[in-house]
Amino acid sequence: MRIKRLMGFLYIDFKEWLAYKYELFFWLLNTLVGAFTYAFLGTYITVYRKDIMLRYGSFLPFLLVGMAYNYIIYASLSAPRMAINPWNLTWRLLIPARVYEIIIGSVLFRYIIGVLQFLMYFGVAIAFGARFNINLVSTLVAIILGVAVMWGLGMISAGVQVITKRWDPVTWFLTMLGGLFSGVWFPYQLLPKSLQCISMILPQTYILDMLRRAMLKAEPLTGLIDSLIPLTISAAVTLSIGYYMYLKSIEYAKKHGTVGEY
Amino acid sequence: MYAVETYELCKAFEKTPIKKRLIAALTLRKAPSEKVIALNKVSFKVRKGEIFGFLGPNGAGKTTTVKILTTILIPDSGEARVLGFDVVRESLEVRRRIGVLPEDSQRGFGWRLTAFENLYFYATAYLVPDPKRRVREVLELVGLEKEHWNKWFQRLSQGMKQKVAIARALIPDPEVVFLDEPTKGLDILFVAKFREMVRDRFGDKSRAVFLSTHDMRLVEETCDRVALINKGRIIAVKPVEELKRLVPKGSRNVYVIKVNELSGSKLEKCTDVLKMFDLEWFRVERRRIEFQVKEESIEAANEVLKTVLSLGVLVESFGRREIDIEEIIRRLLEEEGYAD
Repeated sequence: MRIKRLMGFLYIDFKEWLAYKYELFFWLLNTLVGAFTYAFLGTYITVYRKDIMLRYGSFLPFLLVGMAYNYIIYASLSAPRMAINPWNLTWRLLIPARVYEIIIGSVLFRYIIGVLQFLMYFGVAIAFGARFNINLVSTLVAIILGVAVMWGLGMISAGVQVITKRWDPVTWFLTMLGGLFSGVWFPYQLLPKSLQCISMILPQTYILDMLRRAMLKAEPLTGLIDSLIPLTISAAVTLSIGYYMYLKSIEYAKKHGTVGEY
Repeated sequence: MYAVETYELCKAFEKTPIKKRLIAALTLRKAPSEKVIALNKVSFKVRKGEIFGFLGPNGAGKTTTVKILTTILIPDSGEARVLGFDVVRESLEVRRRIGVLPEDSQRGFGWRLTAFENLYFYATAYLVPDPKRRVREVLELVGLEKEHWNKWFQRLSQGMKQKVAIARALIPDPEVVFLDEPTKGLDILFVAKFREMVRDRFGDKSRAVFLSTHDMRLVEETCDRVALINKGRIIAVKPVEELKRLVPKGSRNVYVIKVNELSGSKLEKCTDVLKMFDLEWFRVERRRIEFQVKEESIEAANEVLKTVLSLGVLVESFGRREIDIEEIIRRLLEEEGYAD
């Protein structure tokens, strides 16, 4: 094996990595935020603040609901972007279908996979002795509203990416910050007060809070009003803005001749 | 009603990078603007059932026109209609009625799906009744052997992939089919069959075929009319025979000297000698010499022949043929100045 040749491979990969400056910067940030997430998880929840868990029940089902739903959140966020993959976009747009049909058609499979992963997590959780106390109506409403909000945001993100082609600030903002601030791994109430204001602007915080209370404490919709109202408003706003931005971004690409460009 | 009609179609592309435009927008300054004109008042009409060739050098505006007509690009001004439907306002109606083979024809295929599976997806997306039957029909029509139908797309040869792409264009049984460089990658044996398929309008005489290509033989043997485009402007829209008439009658003859194999030094000598004549153009190859004289006269052509013979070249025949479409187009473009 020639070291020189290996160095050549290393060189081009490194140069390419450096060439995407935004990605590089946000990769560094992701690493830092990830480190903080696990620090909070390991230190606060298991040692100091067990009391906060009372809002949701025990920690294992709390964590599993967060991780499982994260798949659906991620699928919802990334699905509209998948539909504008430059390799396929020209051909998707040549099909005599409306834009929403193209989006739904392109993302359906990812949802099925997302739901399957969600269910697998539950299977494993039950096998490990986790106990759920589910209110079915509240759970379904939480899932539907969550998907709607994230889909709206996903369309905004896709719209941005039609222009930037690679870097997508919306998904980055939601996925990276979501892990630390929205309560995927631990209750956001564990964060210092000054950081909880970030949690309050992230839709995942409300989605996860509502879902956990519906699935772990069987709270009815009337008891979930504090999450239900902001989520309903967010869903209406993000879906409208997202669809409008998606249409506009495709129009932009069609005007500038960049539909199939990477 | 025409299959395709365009009226004063204009399109320019912004050259200023988006970064600069964004900075200008954020700092509330006027964005610098530098544009490249791709189409400049392009007007032409294609009749139903017509095979229409769209020719021009690279960067002339052919693909831009095809993209506008297939609803993938929005023009800056002017109007384009396909089967009476506006390509911007009624794009859905247009897409229902057209089939497209784009220049980058391998896009949009799943490389780990078979040829059949890929086409089946498109057949269902176009809501074709009995999609499996339609896929079989188009695969047979383009001549992809059955043994390749169930191979992964990525394992097909370039020519086979192009056949599958042509089949995709035919899946919706379109009233107008747009073909951008259709013979690219096709093997020699299939090209001849393909010309026949185009002449036959893929089995439906009422189907219009819009052909953007560099393959002059395909144009000459199939097209009813051609449009010549350069630097975004239409230079001529004529039947092939009429296009020939754009070249003055006196300069439509090409003289051909068929020779015994020319060696390297003789080939060079012939080239040097012919440069001394005041010819319209000439071409020296190993087995033939072709040239056009400026003032059409057999005497002048004979002078060239005598000089070639004086070099000790063995001449097998001396004759005359009519200028072909490729030479006419090159001539017309030279008069206009090439796009690049």
